[in-house]
This record gives sequence, structure tokens and C-alpha cells, in this order.
Amino acid sequence: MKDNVRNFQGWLLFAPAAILLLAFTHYPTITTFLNSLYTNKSIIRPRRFSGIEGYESMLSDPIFWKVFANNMWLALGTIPTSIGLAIIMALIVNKAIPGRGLLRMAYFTPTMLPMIAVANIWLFFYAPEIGLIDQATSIFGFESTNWLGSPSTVLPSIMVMTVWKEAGFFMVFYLAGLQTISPELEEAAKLEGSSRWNYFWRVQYPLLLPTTLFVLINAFLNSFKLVDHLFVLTKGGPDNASNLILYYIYETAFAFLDVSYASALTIFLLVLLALTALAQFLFIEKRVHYR
Amino acid sequence: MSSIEVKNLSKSWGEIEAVKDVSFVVPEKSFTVLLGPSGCGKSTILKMLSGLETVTSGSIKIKNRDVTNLEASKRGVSMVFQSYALFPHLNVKENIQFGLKVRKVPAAEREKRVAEAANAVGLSDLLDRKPSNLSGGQRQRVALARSIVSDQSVCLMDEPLSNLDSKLRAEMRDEIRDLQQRLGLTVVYVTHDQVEAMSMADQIILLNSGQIVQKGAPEEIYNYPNSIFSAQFIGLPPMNILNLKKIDITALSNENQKKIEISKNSINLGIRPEHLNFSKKGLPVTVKGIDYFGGETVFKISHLEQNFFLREPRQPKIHLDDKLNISWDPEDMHLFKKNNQRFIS
Repeated sequence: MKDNVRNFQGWLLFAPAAILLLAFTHYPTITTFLNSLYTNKSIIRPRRFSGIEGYESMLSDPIFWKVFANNMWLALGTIPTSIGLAIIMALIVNKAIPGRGLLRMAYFTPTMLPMIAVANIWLFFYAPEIGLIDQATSIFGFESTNWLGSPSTVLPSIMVMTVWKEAGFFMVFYLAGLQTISPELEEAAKLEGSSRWNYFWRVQYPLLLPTTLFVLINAFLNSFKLVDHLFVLTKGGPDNASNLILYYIYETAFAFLDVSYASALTIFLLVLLALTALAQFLFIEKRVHYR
Repeated sequence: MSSIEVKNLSKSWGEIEAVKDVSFVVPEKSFTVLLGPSGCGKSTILKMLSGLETVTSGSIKIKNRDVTNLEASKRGVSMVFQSYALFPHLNVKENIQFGLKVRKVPAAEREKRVAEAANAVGLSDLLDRKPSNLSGGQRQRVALARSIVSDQSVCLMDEPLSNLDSKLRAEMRDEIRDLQQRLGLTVVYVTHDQVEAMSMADQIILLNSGQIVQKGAPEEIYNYPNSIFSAQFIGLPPMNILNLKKIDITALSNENQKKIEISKNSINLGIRPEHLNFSKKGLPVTVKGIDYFGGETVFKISHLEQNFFLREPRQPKIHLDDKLNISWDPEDMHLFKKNNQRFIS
């Protein structure tokens, strides 16, 4: 009898977290998966089981491949650059220089701004003729460019903005990583005649590998998650040149009202991100030195 | 021949003077200890010697070469850090040969020197281990090996034993001293532990608030402390200091009275606990405490409200609150003047 009471109390304590998780994570995931296996319901046609048809049409959908490739290019174009910048910025603000606090804040400001606000700022930068970039380049006699309006420049433009937004965020992790390294290590290396560069490559960089791994995974996940700016800047255009998976899912579900196909796309994204997280736990973590 | 010559060395950060006008000489192949309480500037002096800290004024010569403004790596010194400063991602071998790689020493010679250094500190079997898999003593050895392998004749050590437990500390003390003698190293060693200083040093430089209080061989400082600070910093329990105005001088032996009389303006009397003896005549005292350590017994005694210590090698049959008399030989008595300096007759 007493055991039952204790069990009940246990379940009661477990309930708040369990209910929230079930209601807002597990249940939607399962219904999304089920939706992806059925056709859409409409007035004239009832919902019917279609199996993997949704996934098959995904594979033959050129727009899907286009947005997936865009996403991969975005990841490739932004992650190494923002990590590199983040390390450099962290190294700079880790030193005892005048105005260090101000500089740290300046580097971190883009991260604090909401993505929509960032997009609005950059919309002004990129605007043809009147935008900051065009005004600057016109001084040197360059032609006006429609940065966000032409398929060849739109994705790189988005990349630059993403790097600007993300590098400061990653800097914080590198700064934290750098500060766990004992200053005596630098003194010891200095005494042995190690140059700044040598010290960075042989000591700081290897000791920052755990940070780099963490940042890498986060940056990859972020490159799929951040789409807010597309609403302001391009709406995925022109001709899907700047469209990304998450934005495509949004369009499919809420503009084209194709819930079934949107569900299939969502499951694809979910599996992709889950595999990334798994890769972190299973493979890469073992190869990285932890103190 | 002197290996290191420090002249009028000072260091200040703005208003704060960490080191004030310090001069000393470290003879070649000797073991010099910079001793003092925390904040006395001893580590700052060591850092200035190594070149990791800039000098405000004064000069440093190493092997007759002025290195005052020279880069750390060009001074010809190696250093052992308090926290060992081992690179956590490199194994023992890589840690030892870090400097050799930086200096681009050829691989064959590198192998040979690493093997020798590892052998000298007994690390030959642990070369593949990471620092995180080593005990405190072993890490200490890696730091020593890294210093040895650099082949610099001057080695600076910054409280290298302070992170070890007391048993290991005693072992490493012997080992470092032995290593220094065997390899003929010139060592400058910073510590706040007077036991380390007494047992290892050829020369002790005692510091307080950025200034040298006394320098000399351990027995010289122990037997002839030039000030109350010096007398009390070295020795455990420290030297007893009694205010002459507050003791009954008439109870002392004639020789002692005479010696005190000669030094008219002395106001304090210093006597080491082991130089006090219980006796029939002499200063009347009451036993206030007894600490039995096995090899010795330390008695806390008091005379006219002044507490001090007496150390006996055996455990005499004496109890708390016993009223006894103590005496001492005149030559064991130190007298200090008003400015806390030693009275020299």
C-alpha cells in the first residue's frame, strides 16, 4: 500500500515535465510523421494512406534539392569563416588591451539583436543604388548591384550577414575556452622561445578543440534553424536562389497548404539534425582532447 | 664565479612598489632560495630574472651578460612553475621536448636528450602518458625534465613543491637538491616554506615587503638573525621574543644579566625554544600547554603574562600549571634594539 503511494508521488513529480514534453515535442513529432504518410484532406477528397509517396516526390522535387543544396552551401560558406573570425576576435579581446570591455560588447552586439532587426539593417546595406554598399562602391566607379535581387549574389549576401551575426556568438565560447587555459602555459612556452603563432598552433588551438566541436555542431544546427531573415530580405527568391529548407517547409505548409508534403520535409530535417547530434556523441567526441 | 648578479632591482605598478632596491649575487652551481611570506615580492623577482616580467629599474646580469631588457627565451634560463605548466594535450615526451622542437633541434639529438632527461628524473616508463594520468609527483618530474632538457645552466623554480603532500614534498626536496648537485645547475628557488629553504639552500635570501631582510647560509641566518623578522621567520616554533621591561631580570644568571646590561638600549630578548632548559634556578614560569610530537615535546610557558615556547627532545615528567624555572646559556641569547635590529656587541 505504502509503495503505491510512493509510486504515485513519483509519477506526480514526473508529470509536469512529462506532460510538457509529450504535448509539445513527442506528440507533434509523431503526428507529423503520420501526416507525412497520408495525403491531404480536402472537401472533395478524403485523406488516404499514401505510404512513402510523399518522400518519393521529395526526391524528385527539384526545388527540394535546390533548397537543400542552398542550405549546405550556406553551412559551408558561413561556418569556417565565422569560426575563424570568432577565434581571432576571442584572441584579441582575451588580451589586456585598453577598451577591452567595449570591444567585447561591440563584437557581441550582432548576436543580441533579433534576426528580424539584423535583416532590416542589412536590407539597407544591400539596397541597390541607395544602399550603403552601393554608395561606397560607387565612389570607386563601380556599377550598382542588386545584391539581393540577382540569383548569383543573393546567397553570398545572406552568408555575409549570417557570419556577421554568428561570429560574435561563437566568440563568447572561444573566449570562455581561452580563459580556462592557464597563463603559466603561455609563460612556459615563451621561455622556450615559442612565438605567438607557434603557441597558438601548438597549445591554444588544440586546447580549444572541444570548443570548436561544440561550436561546429551548433553552427551546423543554426544554419538550418535560422530563417527569420528570409521573411524580411528575400522570401527565398529570386527563383529560390536564397531559399532554405526551413523556409521551404513554412511555404509548403502555410502558403501552399500542402501539410502532407511539409510533414515529409520536416521529418527529413528532423532526421538530418538528429544524425548530426548523434555524430557528435558517438564519433567526434572521442577524438577530441578533454582535460 | 657568479652566475647571476642582481643590482638595485625595483619593480612597481603605479603606486605599488613590489620590489624595492634588491641586490644579490648567485654563485655558479649554487642553490639560492628566495624566502619570504606571501606578497613579499619573491615571485616577482623570479619573474624579472626569467624575463616574464619587465624591470622598473636596476639591472640583471646572467653569466656576465646584461639581460635586463632581453627576451625571456634568450636569457639562457629554464623555469619550473608552481602549477608545473604542463601542456595537457601533449604526452610526457612531447611536453619534455616542446622547447627543443621550438628551437628546431634535430630529431636524433632530441631523442637522445629527452631520453637522458627522462632518465635523470625517473620518467622513462611514462613517456606516453598524458599529464592528466600522472600523479602530482610525476607531473613535478615532467616539469623538472623539461627544465633539464633545455640544457640551460640556470634553473628558476617558483614554489615547485607547494602542490604536493608533505611526504612527497620531503622526497622531492632531496631529489631536487640531488639533481642540482649532479647536473651542476645554478638554481634560484622561490618558497615561503622555511623548511625547504633550510634543507636545500646554499644561500637564503630572506625578503619582506619587497626588501631583502637578510642573506646568508642557512646556519648563519639561523644562528645570527639580524632582526626580529629574520629570527621569527626561520625556525619552528619561531624564536621567542621577550620584552626586557616585562621580565624579571634579577632572576637571570649573572652572565646573562651582564650581557643584557652591555646592550643598554636593547628592548627585546630573543631565544630559540630548543635553547631553553628547565632548571632549579632562573626565570620563574608556569606551564600553560604541552604538545607531544614523539621526537620532541613543545611546552607553552608563561612568565609575567608573556607566553613563549620551550622545546625538549624527551618527554620530562611535567604537567600543566606546574611552576618551574628556566635558564639558558648567554651565547644562545639574542638581543634586539628598538628598531627590531640585532644588537651587535
